[in-house]
Amino acid sequence: MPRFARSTLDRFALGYGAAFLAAFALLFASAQPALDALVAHDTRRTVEAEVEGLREIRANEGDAGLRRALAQRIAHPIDPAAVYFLLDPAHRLVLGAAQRLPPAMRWRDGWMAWRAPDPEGAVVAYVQRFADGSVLVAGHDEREQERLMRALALVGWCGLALLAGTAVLLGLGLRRSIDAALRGPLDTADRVAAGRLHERVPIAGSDDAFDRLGTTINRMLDRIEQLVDGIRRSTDAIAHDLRTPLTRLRTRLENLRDTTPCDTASAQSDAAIADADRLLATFQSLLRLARIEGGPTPALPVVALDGVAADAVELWQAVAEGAGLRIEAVLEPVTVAGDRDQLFQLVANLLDNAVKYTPAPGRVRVALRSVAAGVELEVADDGPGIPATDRERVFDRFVRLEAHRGTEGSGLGLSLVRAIAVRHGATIALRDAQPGLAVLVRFPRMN
Amino acid sequence: MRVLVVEDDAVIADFLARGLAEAGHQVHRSERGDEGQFLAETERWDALILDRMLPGRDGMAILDALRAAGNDVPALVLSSLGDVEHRVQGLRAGADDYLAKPFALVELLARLDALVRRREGATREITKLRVADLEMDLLRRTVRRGARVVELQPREFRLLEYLMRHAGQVVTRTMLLEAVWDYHFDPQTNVIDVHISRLRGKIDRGEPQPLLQTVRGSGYLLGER
Repeated sequence: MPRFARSTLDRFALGYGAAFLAAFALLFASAQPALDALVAHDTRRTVEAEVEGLREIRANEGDAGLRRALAQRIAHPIDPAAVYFLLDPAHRLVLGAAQRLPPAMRWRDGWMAWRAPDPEGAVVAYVQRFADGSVLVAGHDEREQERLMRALALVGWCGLALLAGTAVLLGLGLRRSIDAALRGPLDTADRVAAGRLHERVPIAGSDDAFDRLGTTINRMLDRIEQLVDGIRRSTDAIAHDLRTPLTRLRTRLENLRDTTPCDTASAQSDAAIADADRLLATFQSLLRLARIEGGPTPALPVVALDGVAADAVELWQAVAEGAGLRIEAVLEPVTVAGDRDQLFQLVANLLDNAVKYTPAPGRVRVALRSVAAGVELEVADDGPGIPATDRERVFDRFVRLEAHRGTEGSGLGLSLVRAIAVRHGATIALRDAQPGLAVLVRFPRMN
Repeated sequence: MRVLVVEDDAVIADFLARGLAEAGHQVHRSERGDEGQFLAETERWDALILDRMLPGRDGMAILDALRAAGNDVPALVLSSLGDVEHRVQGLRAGADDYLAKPFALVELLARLDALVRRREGATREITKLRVADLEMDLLRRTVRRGARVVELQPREFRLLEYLMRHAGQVVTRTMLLEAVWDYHFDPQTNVIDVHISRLRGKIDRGEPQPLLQTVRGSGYLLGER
């Protein structure tokens, strides 16, 4: 199927056009023979009247009168298409134009038709034989009729072509207006899919099918927003409700440790407190994640991202050196619209991962640059990297790759990075740094 | 210190009262906002601990009223609303510090001490800080331990300055992140520890008396043991 006809709309437009043309062609096809018959009938009536008139003249004025009348009519025809012949009993032409007769002619009574050689054209005539053997032929040249039919056919074809053109234009116009009407819902759906849950389809107020589509989609979006809010609130509630008993647990353990003089008990309580702290930290991160993902997007102030990145690098520099790694930073002075603390968290989490998973001696590269689409942050390491099959998964909550089991961390680091990126309208891509992993975060241009 | 606690949740109020008493403070409690405000206005306190959601009068409204009347008693606001936005809002409204519930008692006590100390320090112009034989010159930006000059990076200097300003008090990691690095975020690993270790190496190594101590489960403390 050619490319332009593959869509439903195109097929609809084509079908529509084809039906239109077929109807027209049918109309025409049925009109033409009807018209033809009508004109033929008319011609016969005329010829009959002529013959009747001529018969009367012969009856009243005899053969001589007939010849006179015929000669008159041939010389000065009222109807230029009229054709007359008079033949003697031996069927030799007495009056009439010989060139209008075909070479051999067998005359029969009644209606006859032939094609005259000069000028070329059909002739319809009535043959009247008289008692004395002479033959009167009165008829009508069909040239006009033929010309009419040809003109009609031309009109028909032109009309068909015009109609075809109109149908195509109409079809295209229809398709364009449907595309335009659908743009509203499609654009809104795109924006919602990108994370802006508050977007709604604009309703034109005309109550047509598109408005109903828009209204229904909006109702669906309301429901989705409600559900997402519900999830966020229940995650919040769960984390909140669990933090309180955990905190109490921790406090009790602290009291136990402080009041028990025994060293082993002390060591155990310390370990238990450390566990409780890790759990609390995980809940804290979960809550933060839920808030960032579910919260409304307020107007964000302008942040010097290079300063934030530099601070994060500085903070992790000590840890990196302790682990035998180098952090290299190439930061262009760029600004984005954002939340300073969240952006710091984003860079920090990426650095944290890079430092954690790169063996010594290794290198972590942090780059910040201005690109056509906006601002690009890159954090790359030369560690083991992430296999291509896992690159989508790692952003989900609590995902720890098999290779990393046992290392410190809650599994929420990259989830937070993604949530913060989405909140800032940024995209994240994971690349193979050959060797290692490169994380690219692209922030949109500020306007 | 005389501390007024205005908190309607009995469990948390008990917890606070007990903790503060054990730390040597004199605690007075109120469960209602209007009563709390009355007490805050009519008696002298060293510090206030205010919950946001209170029956009678909202914690933030009480703070607004106190500040508008010129009462600048050190105030720490407690809230279940732990968003950074709410924190910023609280601080702007006149709170000296803002803590999300549930909180570790240790964190609260550390912050309470810190904010009272900050107030005291603010009234005097300090140019030098001193802890045992560790001396910091704030004007010249130099540090000495006894006769030895200690070379510090700018960030390390700020870190030590904060610790010295809160000498003898427990300083939590979160407090350090906020005060020295000016970010409010959750570190996934203990990056601060490494910076502290380095600082400790610079000021304590070879010295008979280590000053920079780690308080297990809480944070750090600069002071004589």
